[in-house]
Amino acid sequence: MLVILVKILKQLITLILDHRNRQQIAYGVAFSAFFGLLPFNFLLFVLLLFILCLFKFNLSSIFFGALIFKLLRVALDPVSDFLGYFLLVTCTPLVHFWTFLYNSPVFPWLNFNHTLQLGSFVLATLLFFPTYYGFLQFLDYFRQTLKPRLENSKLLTVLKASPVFHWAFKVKDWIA
Amino acid sequence: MLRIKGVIAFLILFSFLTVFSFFFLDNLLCRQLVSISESLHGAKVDIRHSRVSFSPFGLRLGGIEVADPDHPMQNIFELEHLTILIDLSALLRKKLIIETLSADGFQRNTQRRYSGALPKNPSVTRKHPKRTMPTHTQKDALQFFTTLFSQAADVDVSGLFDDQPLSMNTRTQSIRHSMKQDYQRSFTQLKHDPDFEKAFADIQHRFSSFGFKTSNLIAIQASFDELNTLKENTQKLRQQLAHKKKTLKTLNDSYYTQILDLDNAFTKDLRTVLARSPLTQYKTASFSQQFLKTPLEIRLQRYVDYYTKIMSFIPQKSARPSPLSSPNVSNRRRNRIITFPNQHPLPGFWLKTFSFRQQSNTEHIHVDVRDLCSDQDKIQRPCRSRFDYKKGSYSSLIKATLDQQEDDRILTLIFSHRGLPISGQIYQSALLDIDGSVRIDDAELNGQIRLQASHLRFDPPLLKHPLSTVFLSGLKAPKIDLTLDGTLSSPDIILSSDIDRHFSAAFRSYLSAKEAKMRASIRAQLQRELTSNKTLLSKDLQGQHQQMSRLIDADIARVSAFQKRLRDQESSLRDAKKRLTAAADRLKRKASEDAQKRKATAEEKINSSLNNQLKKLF
Repeated sequence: MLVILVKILKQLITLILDHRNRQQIAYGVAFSAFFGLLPFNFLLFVLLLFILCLFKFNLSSIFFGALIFKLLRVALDPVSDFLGYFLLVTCTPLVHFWTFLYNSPVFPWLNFNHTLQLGSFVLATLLFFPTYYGFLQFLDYFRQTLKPRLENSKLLTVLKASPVFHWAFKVKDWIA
Repeated sequence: MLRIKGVIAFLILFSFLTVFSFFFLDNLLCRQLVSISESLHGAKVDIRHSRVSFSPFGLRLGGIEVADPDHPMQNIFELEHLTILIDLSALLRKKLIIETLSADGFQRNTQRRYSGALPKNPSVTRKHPKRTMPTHTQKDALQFFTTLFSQAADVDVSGLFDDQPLSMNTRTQSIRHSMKQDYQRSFTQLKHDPDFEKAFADIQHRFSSFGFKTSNLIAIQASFDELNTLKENTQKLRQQLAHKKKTLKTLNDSYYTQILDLDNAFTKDLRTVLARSPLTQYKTASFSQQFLKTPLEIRLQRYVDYYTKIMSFIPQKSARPSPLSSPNVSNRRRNRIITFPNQHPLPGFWLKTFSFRQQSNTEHIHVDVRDLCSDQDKIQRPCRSRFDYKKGSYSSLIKATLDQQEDDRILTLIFSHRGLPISGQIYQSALLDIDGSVRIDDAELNGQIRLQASHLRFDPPLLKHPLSTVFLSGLKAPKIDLTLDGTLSSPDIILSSDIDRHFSAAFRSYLSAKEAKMRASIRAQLQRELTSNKTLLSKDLQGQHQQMSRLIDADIARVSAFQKRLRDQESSLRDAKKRLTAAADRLKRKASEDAQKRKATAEEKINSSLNNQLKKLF
């Protein structure tokens, strides 16, 4: 398990450092909100998995994005609950729509009448494009500004010069 | 951006999962069911095999054994087969429509081969080591008693009673002898163990009771039956007690919240009034007389009425959680499930057919429930439940059928007497009008049939419907005459009875008792509120009184100090006056002395001058 985690982390770092696939990474992070924020629902999970397989999202970014959104969920749950309650109860014009869904087949299994479930889904949808564009900006900033600074930093220079670093690279080559 | 390979991978994964679940779903479901039911029940639940069928969609479980948590070597019940057929199309709409639920091979209190106790937490066991006797001794004892009970229960008394009384007596004697021997042997084995002292005392009591009744095997069986009935009754009473306790707790909580609100509001209001009042009025002498003579009861009653009205108009205020339960507020507020109007013709839950049958030498139970539904109006059918219970050949047969609907209830009671079953069906409408028919099963009787029951006794576990419990609990040994007039040739026989009057009276008495209870509780609540508020107000008044007394005391002290000062000044003035008077006297005396001296001097001078002048003249 740890090896897989390390591999995924390595892939993510490689992708962030690499100049290609920046859109895939950003989409992956944006899509990971659905995995991180929503409470578990089997049917929804299968649907999300299908979408995940359908589009070219970066899996490593989804994994780490979901981890971050899971941590953020503690703070975002009240917001989701409020949003769900607003959509389900306070917003009266939508009641007919919810009633229709409630009486349709399959949809009741999505637990959309659960305030947290609906609120989290809507919040994840609302956060999709802001997260996408925000992460794109972050990648640009990282590759143009932060990366050269990190490369020229004293810490990295010392690390590169250290025998441990050389030894680690040798081991890596040997394994490869 | 689209990834076709991903879709293929997904489909492969999904099909793999489907195939996997198709082959291993039975075991997975079985394990899941076992773990859930064990966690709920608190003892082992064994399901020997399970099978999921997709056409028709359902589940078939076999070899179900539910262990007794109190007696781990015994099963509460055992089912040979349990079949559940579910409507798949309704399940897509999240509606559980059970087409058929059938169970067979029901057996109660069967013995287990291994313990049904769930594994305990090792840390807890280490902390509280339980003093037990060796396992093999326990098992032996349990085995012995199990054999003993089954030995007594398996005796078919009906075949021996009339035909072979001598053989029966011999068998009775032999069984009694073996029972005594086994009992003594077992007792000598176990009597040294302190853990079993209590159990042995109980068993000894039971056997001593058997000693009086073991004139024949029927008495033994009756004793066992009595014991079982007592046990069941005790369990039922315990359940009822727990339910009542729960209800009382809920009521108490809500009352507590209301009283707390009332107290808070009242205290707040009183403090506001006192804070707004100028403090100078407490310094006046008339304050205490005016304020203390105010009719407190009337004022408090006004407050209570006012807040009671508010509480009744604002139910959410009364449902507001008390500060003691504040940690649960966030949990309650979050994760709400909103329900929308269900427009689908099917209800959320509908058990179409449930049948269950148990037949043994001594017992025959048949339960049949039809159309048990979460919303009876949707299916436009009443819920019909039928319960048949037969015990022994000479026991009375009681059958009860209850059809539940909004406006119409049909109650079928079937009695038997010495192997002659007579069934009476009572159609009981909302107005408790009774009309019905009588059927005679397996009997060759001609002419008029008349059944007179001076004492109608219902076995409580047989009728578990709340409505019947309400009515039947009110019927304490009434005299009910059921007169069945008719002949066998006519299929419908009129049933005339005064049971409706008894039912109405019982219902009225039940309602009046409930109303009186509610009135008493409300009165007690108001009294409590009144007392508490009175105490609160008197406390406040006492405080104010003390403050006022302190102020008056301070004033009195000031005045007395001033008076003392005045008295001091007066005395000092008196002293000064005395001093001045003395000085004046002294001055007067001195002046008079001086005047006398001057007078004398002047007189001397005048005399001398006169003398001189006289001398000069003369």
